[in-house]
Order: sequence, then C-alpha cells, then structure tokens
Amino acid sequence: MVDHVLTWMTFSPLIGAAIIVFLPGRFKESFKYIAVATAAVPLLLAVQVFLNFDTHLVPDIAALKSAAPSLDPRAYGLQFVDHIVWIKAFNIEYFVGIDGVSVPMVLLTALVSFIAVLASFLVKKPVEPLHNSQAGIKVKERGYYALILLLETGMMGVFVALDFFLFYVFWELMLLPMYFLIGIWGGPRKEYAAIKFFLYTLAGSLLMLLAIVYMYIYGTAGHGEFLLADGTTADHTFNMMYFAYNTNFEWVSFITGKMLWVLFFIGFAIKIPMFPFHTWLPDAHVEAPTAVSVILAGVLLKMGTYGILRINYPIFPSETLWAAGAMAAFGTINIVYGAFCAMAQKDFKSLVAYSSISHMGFVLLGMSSFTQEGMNGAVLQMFNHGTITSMMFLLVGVIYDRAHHRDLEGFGGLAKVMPIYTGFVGLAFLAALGLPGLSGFISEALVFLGAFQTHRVATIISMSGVILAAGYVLWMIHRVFLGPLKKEEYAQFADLNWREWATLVPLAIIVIVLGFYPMPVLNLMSASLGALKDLVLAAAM
Amino acid sequence: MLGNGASLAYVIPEGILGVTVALVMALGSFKPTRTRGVLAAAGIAGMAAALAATAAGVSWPDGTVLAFHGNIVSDGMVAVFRLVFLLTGLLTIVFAYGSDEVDTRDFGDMTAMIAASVMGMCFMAAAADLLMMYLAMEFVGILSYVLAGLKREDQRSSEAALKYVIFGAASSGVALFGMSLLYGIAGDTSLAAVRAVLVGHGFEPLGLMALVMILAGLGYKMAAVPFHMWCPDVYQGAPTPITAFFSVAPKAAGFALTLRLMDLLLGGIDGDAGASLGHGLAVLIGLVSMATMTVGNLSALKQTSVKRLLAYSSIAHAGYLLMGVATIPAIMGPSPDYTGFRAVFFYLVIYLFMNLGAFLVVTRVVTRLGSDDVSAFRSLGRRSPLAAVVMAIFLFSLVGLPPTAGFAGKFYLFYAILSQGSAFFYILALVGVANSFISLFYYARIVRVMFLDKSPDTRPVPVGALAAVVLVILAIPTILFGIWFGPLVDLAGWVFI
Repeated sequence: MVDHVLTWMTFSPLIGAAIIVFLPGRFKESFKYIAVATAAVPLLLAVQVFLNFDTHLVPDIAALKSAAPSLDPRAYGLQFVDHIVWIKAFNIEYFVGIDGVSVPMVLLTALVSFIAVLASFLVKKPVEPLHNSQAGIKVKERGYYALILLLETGMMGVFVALDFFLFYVFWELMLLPMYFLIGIWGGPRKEYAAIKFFLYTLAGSLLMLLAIVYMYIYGTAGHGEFLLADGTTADHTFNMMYFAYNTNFEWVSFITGKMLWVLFFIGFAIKIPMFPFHTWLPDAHVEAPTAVSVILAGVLLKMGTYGILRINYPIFPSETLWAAGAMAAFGTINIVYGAFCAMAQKDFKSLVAYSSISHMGFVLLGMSSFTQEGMNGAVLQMFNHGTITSMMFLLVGVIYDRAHHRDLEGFGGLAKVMPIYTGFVGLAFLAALGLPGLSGFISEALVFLGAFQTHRVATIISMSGVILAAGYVLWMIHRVFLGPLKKEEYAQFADLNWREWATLVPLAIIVIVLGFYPMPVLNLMSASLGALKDLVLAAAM
Repeated sequence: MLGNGASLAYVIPEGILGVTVALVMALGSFKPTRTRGVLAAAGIAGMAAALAATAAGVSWPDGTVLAFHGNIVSDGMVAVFRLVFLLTGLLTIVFAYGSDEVDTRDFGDMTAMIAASVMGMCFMAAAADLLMMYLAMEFVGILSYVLAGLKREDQRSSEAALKYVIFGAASSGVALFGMSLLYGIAGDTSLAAVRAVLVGHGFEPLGLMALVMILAGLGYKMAAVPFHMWCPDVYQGAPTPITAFFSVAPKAAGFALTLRLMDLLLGGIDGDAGASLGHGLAVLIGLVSMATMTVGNLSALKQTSVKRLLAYSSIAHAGYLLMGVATIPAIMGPSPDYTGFRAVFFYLVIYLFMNLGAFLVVTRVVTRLGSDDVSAFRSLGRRSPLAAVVMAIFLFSLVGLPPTAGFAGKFYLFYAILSQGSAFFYILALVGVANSFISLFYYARIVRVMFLDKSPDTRPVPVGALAAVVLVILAIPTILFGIWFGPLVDLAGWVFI
C-alpha cells in the first residue's frame, strides 16, 4: 500500500521525465525503457486505487448545505485525499482527491498513457524518411519521452485536482507537451495542426481563467469563512468542494451565474470537442504520431466532459438545468454531424477522428439527461471511448507503418494478408459502432435509455448516429479488407509484431469484458453520479 | 522631515552606487583595452554590494520617512524597487561583458552609466517633490540617450540615440509644463502641498490638465501608446544588452514614479472632487492600457527581427502593467486598497526575469550568428539545446502560461482589476485576456522556428559558460515564481503597506 497515492500517480511521470532530461546522452538507448517503467508506476498504483475504492461513499448533500465547511474529505464523498495549503497569500491549496466521477478517468489515464508509451517503441529501424514513421519514435527520443511523461502528469492532475487554481495549472500544463509532440514528431502539416490545437485550447482556458478569478473574488462574498487545510480561515477560496456543497450560491444574479456557466462550458466544449469548436481535432489527429493520437483521443477529450461534470454541474446546478436542452441539442449535432463527416473521409485517421466527435456527442447527450442511466452511460462512454478509440488509432498506426499512407481507397483485400490485424480491426470498430457484446454497446444503450426520458426528439435523432456508424465502419472494412489487393507489394505485409500485440491485447480484453460485464466500472461511478444528479435536480425545486 | 545630514542614512545604496560610478570611471581611464574584466567586476561588485545592503534592510525604514527636507521619501516601496533596478543593472553588466556589441573601449563608460542610471531610478521611485521627480527623470533619460548610441560606427545605433533624444526632450518638456502648472496652482513644488491645495480647491480643469501632461511624460518612459513610437527603433538599434536594460529598468522606474505620484496626490483622499479626478484618471489610464497592449501585440505579429518583436512585446507588457495602475479609485477614500499597485510591482519582478532571460538568449545569438532575424533562431533546439529550452520557458512565461511565473503575474493583475467590481474593469480584463491570446501567435512563432523548423546550418551555437549559468539563474525564478509565488506576494506587500 502506498500513501498519498494520487500525488504519486500524478508526479511519478514528472520524476521520470526529469531523469530522462538529465541523463547523459550515452544512455540514449535506455530512454524508452525508463519511460515505460515510469508510466508503469501510475498503472500499478491505479490497481491499488481500483481495489481500495469505496464505491458507496457519497456526500450527504442536505447535511452539507447547512453545515459549516469541514476538512473531512469523506463528508464530501472524496477518497485518497491529499490536502495542504500551497500559496497562502491567495488561499490556494494543493487539494487532490477522487470520487466516482474521477476514478474511471484516473484509471483510464494511467492505462492509456502506459500503452501510448509502449506504442512509441520502434521495433525495427525505419527505411523511409523518419517523419513518415508515425508509430515508432526514433528521432529525438529524449525530448519525446520526457514530453509524453510530462503530458501524463498534466492529465492526471486535471482529473485529481479539486482546487480551481491547481486544476487550471494542470489544465494548461498539458498544452505545452501536446504542442511540441504534434509540432515536432507530427506529419507534413504538423506546425499548422499544433498551433491550431494550442490556440483553440488557450482561447477556451483564458475565458475559464476569468471565470475562476471572478468566482474567487465575488463567489464567496457573504458566505462566511472557509477553512483551509492548515486550520486557518479565509474569506475567499478556490476549493471546488466548498463551492459545490457548502453554500447555496444564488449567484449575484442568475445572469452572472449563466455567464460563468457559459465561460466554463466554452472552455470545456473546445476540448470535447463540441460542434462548432471541433475543427482543431481532425487536423491534430491526422498530423500527430500514433501514440499522441492515442492520448489525445483516449484521454484529452474526456477532460472536457469531465470538467463539465466536475465544475458546471455541482457548482451551477440551476444554470445547468437551464442549459440542459442546449447540451442535448449540441450532443445530437455532434453525433450526427460527426458520423456524416466520418463517412465522407478518404483518410483512415480522419475517419477515426470524426468518429470520436460523434462518440463524444453521446457523452453530452447522456449527461444532459439527469437520469441515473444517462449519467452512468455518459461516464461509461467516456471510459469505453477511451479504450476503443485508443485501439482504433493504434490499428491505423499499424497499417500506416507498413504502407506509409492512410488512403482508404488505396488498400483492399488486407484480410487475406493480415488476418489477425483484421480481427482486431473488426473488434475495435464494431465496438465503436455499438455491437452488442462489446463495451461500446452498453454505454450507448445506457445513454439512450436515460436520454429518452428527458429529451425524446434529440434521442430519436441521435439513434441515427448508430446506423451512420454502421455505415462508415462497414464501408471502411469493405474498402480496406475485402476485395482484391490494390498493390502487389501489400501481399508482403507482416501481421502484427510484438509491440502491436502488447498494446492491443490489454485494450481488447477490456472491451470484451466490459461488453459482457460492465459492473466493475459502473459500480465505481454509480453512487457518485446519483448524488450529482440529485444535487442538480434539487435546484429545480 | 529630516535634514540633509540625518537623511544620508536613507540613501546608502545610492551612495554605494555613486562610489561605484566614480571607481569605474577612474579605472576606465587606464589602458582601456585590457580592463574589461576589471571594469565588469567593479561594476558588478558595486551593484551587488548595494543589492546586498538593501536586502539586509539598509535604508529600509519600517514606516515612511521624508528625507532631505521632504524632497524624497524612504519606505518599503523604494526599497523593493531598488532591488528591481539593481538586479537589472547587475545582470545587464554581466550580459554586456560577454557581448561583442559593446566595444571594450566603451565598456567603462557603459558600466558607469548603467550604475548611474540605476541610481537615478532609485531617486525616481523615491521622489516626493516635483523638482526631484523631474531631475531624477532627466538624469535617467540623458544617460539612456548616450547608452542607446553606444555603437558609434553603427548608423542604426546613432539613429536610435537621436530618436530617443528628440522624443525624450519633447515628452519631458510636456511633463515639465504640467509640473509648472501644478506649481502655479499650489505655489510649492512639494507633492504634499500640491495635494493639499488640490483637495481644498477641488480639481479644476487646470489640475487635471497638468496631471495628464505629467502622465504623458511618464507614458513615454513606460512606452505606452501613443508615446511608444521611439521604442522599436531604439530597441533595435541599441546594443542588445542595453536593449535588455531599457526594456526593464526605465520602464519599471516609470511605473514606480507613476505609482508614487498617484499615491502622494490621491492615496486615501476624501471628497467628491478627488474622487471624480481619480475615476477620470482611471478611465484614461485604462483606455491607454487597452490601446497599448493591443497596438503592441498586433504590431509584434509581423516582425521578423526578434529584437524588434521583443520591443513590441515590451510595449504590450506596459499595457498589462497599466491595467494595475488603472485601479486608482481603489486607493482613494478612507480605506485605501493598493492591491492593483502591488500587482504592478509583482508583475514587474516577474517581467524582469523573463524578459532579461529572453534578451540574454538574443544577445548570445546576435554575438554568435551576427543576426537577430527570426531565421537565425532556426533549429536552435538542436544547435544549442539549453538556450532554446530556456528561451521557450521565457517566451511561454511572457504569454502567461502556467506553470511559469508569467501566469502568476497575469493572475495577480486580473485578480486586482476584477476586484474593482465595475463594468469598465471587466471590459479591461476581457481586453487583457484577448491580448494574452494574440500574444501567443508571435511568441509561439519563435518557439516554432527554434524547435520545428530545419536550418541549413546545423553547427552548434555555443552560448558560453557564463551565459549558460546566468540563463539558468534567470530560468529558475521564472519557473519557481509560477509554482511558489507566496514570497513574492509578501515582497509586493512592501509596496504601499
């Protein structure tokens, strides 16, 4: 058992990154092994978190509203908490902890980051120019592995931070490594894709910063004193839990509340990415190396929906209800629009990128339903999409490594050449379209079940997304794997190598197991999401 | 109010600087070609001694002391600003020592002038009398003109010096006229007397006009729009180490003097006349702030010379800093709140580290490659990894991204202006945020060139051991104050307790 487990999970990759940066150049063959060993630490600790997580702990909302702020984390439904004062002058605290909403994301981050590091291993030396090799990383390994570990610290931090300031620091921390990872190791239009990603996210987060500072100054006025971790009291606080539970914030006016809600929401919506803020995503994915795409789709997109659940829902419940219809509508647009765009793609990777947009729409739709099924479905979809899309991007990387192009029209007949590969593709893409027995089905079904009770029309329209998904997935399989080979030399393609096996198998097991028995993950989140739903719905009365 | 003799205890750091100036000038008259190291050592030792004395609490009274018959104030604010000026001066001499842009023949003069102008800046922060204010400003100004023209054979440098003189003369003339108007109203040059008269008679248009004229003169020092035109030419033309000095020290001194002036005239003032003047000035400064950051950032977008780009960036930063100055209404009334003024100081300290750091990298690149064009920075990530990585840290800090100190600075400024709680300040904050966003374009362009672009020339660019050490020393606070800025907040607390 490790104490301060979340702190270790967050900062152990940073330690690994520092080791890699400061090791002399003659150890350069060992950088990737150090990276993979470092990424294994959060994964092992994630197992500990998973095994020791108390799935029944929820905050007692009614009691908290009337109680004075307390330092007991369990009263807020939090576990594995580390809480100390960080910068006293502004009442900024280092406050990390997890509840049912964040725990699936923490597990996902540990898993996907480990797989992404592993997926960066170069199995054999590339013959083609280096930038063409999208999976294995050979150039500037030191920087690459250091940045990917720094990125993991940022992502993990976002999911465990419970102090606004800390949250914002982690949120921005992950921008820089991502910029360089796309910009240096990316494809032909990498500079454009990297800066576009950077600018979009920065625009959103600056709005969020204004909202955070505004809340710090005014949100706490007249609500008495807040207890800091060192036992002293303060007039202002960044503690998200106090905002969510201890005070009845009738925001200065409802208008102010709406404005703050929108500022946060835009910041998060860019990350999801929600239509019409989605255009950075296909560019970033197409140019990013495989492992970075895996992290981008597997973890980064979830930060958007996670942020909405962590900040917008509990802190602005009545504003959330006010905006529920709009969220459902945008979710529906994402689902249908993303699916149509995916159908039109000629590039394998942009097809997967647009399918991500479509699938993140399910999350938005599910969480705007305020039903237990819908909310469970939404967070489960976040987890499942993380595993399924990671597989899909890894699989695209496999074929790109061999053919050095991703043109869907350029293959054909690969099923005969690479049967195992074809099997994995079938598994991943059918899971994505929601085939019963695979994990994607459970979460989409739950989303529909929940959302139908609240948003009938939106749900009915969204259902077409599943059909469209079947369309683009099956058509893709048809074009790439069936029929005659387009080029003679494709007959020489080797099937999966050890690295590809090692990255795909764990994900495939999760996809299949959760397809039959999703309870291990559902149990983690169910109680917390129920409490969150009640908290929001209580604002209607 | 102390007499001349007793006052000396409150200007000990300035005294040390005076001795340093004399010493360096004397040393500089021997065999000028061989004494570069000795001169640099003498200058650095003098600065370091003054810095150590200030940090140890010398001439740092607990409360406020009026010295030299009320001509200067000595308080916490003077002391903390001394630290800023001295540190900048010290680092400038270190930069200049390793740069080939400053001729060894001129090195003694340069060192003496840097030390002297730091002394002048300390007096700017301390001035409590119109005459003292003007003398300190002009003292610093005249030294700056000479410093800008240090490269005598270089046309750009001469042009820079000439532009600086002409703009400087015009603006200090305007400021002097404003001061003479105040003198006419009050019949006394002491700011306390001016304040008393203004409170008694209300602020008739003449008083407002006088203040606006003085602010115009100060706006020139800070390079605020529309008095910024000299700035890019001077920054580009002057030797790079001197540009680094200009971009931080005179700007900080201009802000120190502005804060001092606003405090002495309006701090804690009561009554409608004062309040309306304060609000008027706040709106005026707020508008200048918006214009300054927008013009600075938009002009920086298309620059190809990194020195010029950083000149526009420093204009933009003057705009951010002016946001803090615009919180004048908060310092009026029975319970004055100096958060905005503290934020200005806080930001200046951070700006010192990140901006000097960026300029040091430019200094090294100019010395090694002979060009400050953006294209000279191509592939710096491979050719000189340390310089490129710290440059990236400085540039991202200038954007204001966490976990760098620049973020802490912006955070404090936004906190200060959002606390003002009026619509005008919300708009100001939005403009500030939009500008931070725009600034990413051009800072990221340099980062892109350093790490993403390929250069035909892949030979390493050695930065030199001394510069490497200084770069790391500057990079550490640039990161540290981003994740642990509590001590700096405490230091800012000394600006108007």
